[in-house]
Amino acid sequence: MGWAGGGPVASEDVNPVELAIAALLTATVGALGGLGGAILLVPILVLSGMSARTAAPLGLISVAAGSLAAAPRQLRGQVVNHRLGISTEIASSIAALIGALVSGIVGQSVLAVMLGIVALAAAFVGARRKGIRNLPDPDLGPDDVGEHVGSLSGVYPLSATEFVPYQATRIPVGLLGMAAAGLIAGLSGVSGGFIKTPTTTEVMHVPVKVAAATTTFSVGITSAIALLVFQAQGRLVVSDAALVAAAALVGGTLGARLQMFLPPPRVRQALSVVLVIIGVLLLVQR
Amino acid sequence: MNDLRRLASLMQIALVAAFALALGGAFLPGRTGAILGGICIGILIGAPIVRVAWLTVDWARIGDRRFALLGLALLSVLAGGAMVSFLR
Repeated sequence: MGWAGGGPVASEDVNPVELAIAALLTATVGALGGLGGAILLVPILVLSGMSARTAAPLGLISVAAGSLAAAPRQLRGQVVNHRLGISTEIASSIAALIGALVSGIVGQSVLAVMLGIVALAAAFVGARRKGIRNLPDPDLGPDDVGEHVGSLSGVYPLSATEFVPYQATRIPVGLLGMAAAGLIAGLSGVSGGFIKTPTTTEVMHVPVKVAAATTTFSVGITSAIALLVFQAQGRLVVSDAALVAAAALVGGTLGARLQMFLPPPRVRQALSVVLVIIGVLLLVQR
Repeated sequence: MNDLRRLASLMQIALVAAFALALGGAFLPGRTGAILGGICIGILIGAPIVRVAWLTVDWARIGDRRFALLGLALLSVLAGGAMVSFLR
């Protein structure tokens, strides 16, 4: 985005107002569903005429901003399992670094197809995801909430009076999923949240609320490492990135607040419909 | 105030600062806007790294050595990534 006539003008003919609205809405919806806003933002930008190479770093800016926006609330609520996030993030970050390094040599058509497939896959996973697997333990109280020292387990509040214990399982398979998520994040800039959250819930059997919060934390780390690479490659247009960041910070804060009131399974089902539309359009229009 | 609450307060400050800088980066023309936007991006990149470093130190302090080492390993990966990106 450059400057003309005293006002911001989006690069590659994308209107700055539309860019800000897209970043705000996708960050809100992304935070609500625990998928990361980039999975929506990047395809929308590509469909609006922006190249995938330019859209990818903006997607990661949106993810990093959404992660930061949700951090204070999620830290105070103690719903993030940081030990799980950091353990799995090592695989994701290495894969994201590799993905970002080779993304410059991947053609736009290939990226568009990949994004289309990724959107359809995310829609499928989001639609089939289960509700509550772990049940509340009546012996647990507010003082038990938080992650346990020395293990990948903890307790989270399902409601004001219900507290649920959990323990991450099948760690090696989970790590493979996290590496795949990191590779896609580095290559396409859509963040791997739509892979990480289902992997954490369905493979590692961590409750969806903890999984979504932990993913929101860890995608911030993955996007940080990929953004460093994009910055070095000169692919970050600062004014575009700043506009997306401002909108995504607001959207991420709104999404984190709304997540407290709305049931995530319902949000994900609606999100799945949107993702199917985006995925099909990307595959048809490439 | 426990360590997670302190970290939450730090993230809150980073959030407010990043938002103000992002607005400046998006709407102020020329070099000023570019600098403010650049600092905003720096905060977005730095915040999760600071968070990991904070947790690593905290876990080392309370004797959770295994996860402190994992935190250190992740920080090493991030540092390696930064080095690779700047050397290219």
